[in-house]
Amino acid sequence: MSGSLISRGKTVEDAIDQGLKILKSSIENVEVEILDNGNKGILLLGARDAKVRLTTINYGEKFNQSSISTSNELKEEVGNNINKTSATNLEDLVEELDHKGWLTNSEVNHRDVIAYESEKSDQIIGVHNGAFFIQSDLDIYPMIEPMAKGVTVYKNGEQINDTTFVSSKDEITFNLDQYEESMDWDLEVSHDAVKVICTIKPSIMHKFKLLNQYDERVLDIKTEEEISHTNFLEPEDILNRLKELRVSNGLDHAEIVKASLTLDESEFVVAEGKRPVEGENGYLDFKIDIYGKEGKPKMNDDGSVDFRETKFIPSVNKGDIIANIHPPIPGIPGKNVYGDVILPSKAHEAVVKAGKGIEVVSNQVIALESGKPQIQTRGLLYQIQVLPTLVHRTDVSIETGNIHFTGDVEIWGNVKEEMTVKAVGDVTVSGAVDHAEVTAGNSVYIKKNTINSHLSAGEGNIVISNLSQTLENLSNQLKGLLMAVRQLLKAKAFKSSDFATQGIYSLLNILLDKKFQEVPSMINTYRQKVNEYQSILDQEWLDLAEQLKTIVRPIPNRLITTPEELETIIEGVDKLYQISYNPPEPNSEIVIANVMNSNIYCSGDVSIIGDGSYHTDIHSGGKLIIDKIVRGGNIYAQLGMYVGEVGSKGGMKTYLSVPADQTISMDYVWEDTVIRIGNSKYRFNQNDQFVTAKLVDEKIVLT
Amino acid sequence: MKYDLTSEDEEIELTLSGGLDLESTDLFEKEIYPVLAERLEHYKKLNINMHEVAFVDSTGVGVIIQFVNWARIHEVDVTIINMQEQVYEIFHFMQIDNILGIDILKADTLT
Repeated sequence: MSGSLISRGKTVEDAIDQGLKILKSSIENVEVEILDNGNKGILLLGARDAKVRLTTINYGEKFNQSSISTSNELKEEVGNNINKTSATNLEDLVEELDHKGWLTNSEVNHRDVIAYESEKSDQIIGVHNGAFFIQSDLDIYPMIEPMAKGVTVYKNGEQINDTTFVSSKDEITFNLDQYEESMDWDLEVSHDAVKVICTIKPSIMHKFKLLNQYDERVLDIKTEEEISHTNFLEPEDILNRLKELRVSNGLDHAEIVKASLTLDESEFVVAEGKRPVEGENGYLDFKIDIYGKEGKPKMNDDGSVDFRETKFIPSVNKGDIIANIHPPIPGIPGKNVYGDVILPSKAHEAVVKAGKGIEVVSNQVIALESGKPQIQTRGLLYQIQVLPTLVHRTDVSIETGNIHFTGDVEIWGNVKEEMTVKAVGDVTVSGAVDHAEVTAGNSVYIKKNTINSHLSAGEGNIVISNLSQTLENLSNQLKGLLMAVRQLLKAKAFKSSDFATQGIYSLLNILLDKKFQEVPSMINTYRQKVNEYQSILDQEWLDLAEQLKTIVRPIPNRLITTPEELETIIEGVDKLYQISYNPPEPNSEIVIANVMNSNIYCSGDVSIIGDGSYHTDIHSGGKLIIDKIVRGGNIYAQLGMYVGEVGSKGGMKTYLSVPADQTISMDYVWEDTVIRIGNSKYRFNQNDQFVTAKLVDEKIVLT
Repeated sequence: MKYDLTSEDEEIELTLSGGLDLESTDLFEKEIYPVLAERLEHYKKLNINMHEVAFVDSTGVGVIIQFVNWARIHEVDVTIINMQEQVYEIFHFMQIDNILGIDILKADTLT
């Protein structure tokens, strides 16, 4: 082998030695040209390799295998120098190791290149059982590509990063990466304290090993990653932690053992309490048909409306059992993982408010009078009364006087100018209503025209449902106030000595001054509304208003002295909130033939089944159905509306509106009709047919 | 409950000690108000030192609020200083600082 090469080394001697190894030549057979003396630097800083050019002197003699031994002999001859060099190298190596710090988490393999006797002569370089071998006495430079993952290769103590040539004289060492993802585990008590979940991530050890490779001129080192999982957890560890968490109930030892054995990332329910079984609220089981027959009144040929076949009107006789009251079924308490009892939410009783003609005997509702039972339910509150029916066989006029009746009223004639009809139950008018006022606690039915009149049905329901928001806010604020009072009572430096004489009024006063400053105005709102409608509201609404007054104003002898009294008031607020929140069932309704220049106010559905509505304002708390025409007026329906034809040729202004979540269906719309859904408005610029309007992303969409 | 008045230049300090409760109403009405009513015009600043006040009740808090408002009518700058932490908690919880103005409680002078 002959030629010239540039060799590098820590020192000039080292560089020469490396070069000779590669050339498989000896010092006397080469010409040495020192290109760079090198610089050791301090702690690798500024270190620079020595560089020499070796050129073989051709004596016409061909190098052969024997030259290697020559080289080896020579190496010994060079003696001291070489030893010194390698010692320096080792020092450097150690310095380098410390500097890079990889000794801490890596295992360093210092293995000499072992001789590997291969049967095939072309196996020059390779990896066998985790060690490198390099065939000696070959005419080519074997190369190492050290770019594999997880291994760092050193040639004579120096890290190599790129393809590098080596010879059997080189000391090839390597360093395999290994790292551990530490074990992680935790216990978590579910927020309702019914479960304890143990999450386990076992320790994961990543180890790299060299793959066996032969037959390579260029050794592209290949590595394999071995992953092993270890779970260090003992059942005792989990039990101890559970003890720290005070978990004592429902331990699952089988799952605990499983958790301590698993090698996968997983979750175990190591303790599980018992959730409570919810009870059932009480209810009324009616013995009579309370809703009557469904059906729609028909219009006769003469334009009047026939109600005869629309409703089967239920009736009861004295002593009839109207309903059986079923008590609530209490739930079954559960137990959480701490061993505490979890109570099921309270199963509430069905409350019967016995009105006129009704008595509750033990668990039965009995009719004391014969008549039409009127039943209104709101959630669990049943309001039942038996109403007598007043049949008025002529017109209601100046001669007969106004009608005020606690029950249903049937008028066979007309309601004439300036007359008033008021009934707690239904009002049915066979004739027309002209310049009059008809008010019903429940429903209104008018068979002929309604002109210049005011109709109202279930107005109390609307007042009540309007109070819903106020009551909800008030309830929340008062609960906060109660909590604040209780919190203060617990404070070490707080004395409650003055409660006995002054009640908690002065405390409330301070809290209401800033922290709960909305409360007084809410209470005022409530009291004003209740006062305004006191004629149509039940006593309990008025009682609550009085109670609320004691919060904002001290009333002698009626002081709130304990937080419990405040709590009682809050319970009252909640009870009425429940009533106001639930719409009554069945709700009021107004069914009339035609209406003109009037006002209609109904807490439930409104149906106009004759020719339609002209210049009439309608407020419906339910659905509005107008089969034929709407011309003019402001029409509102809480639960959506359907109209046959709306607006007029002359562009008479007609406004239809519904809340944001409802739709308006129209078979024919004249231009200039304005519809409003929620807060969005739309005006029809031209006539349209079969349109349904709804709100999509705050915009009215017509389909 | 006891009180003490000390003054220096334009500042006067009212030191309260004991419990601030229903009984304090008497003390304020019979002694503190009359005494201060005569002297207050000579001062610009009034510190209420509550270092020795160990507990309060709701009337006591009311008395303080009333007193501070009264002093302000007389154009005196009022600050409550050196509150014990547990008393401060109650004042803070009742949002007295918001009722009387944010600067009333010197939280950083807590003892």
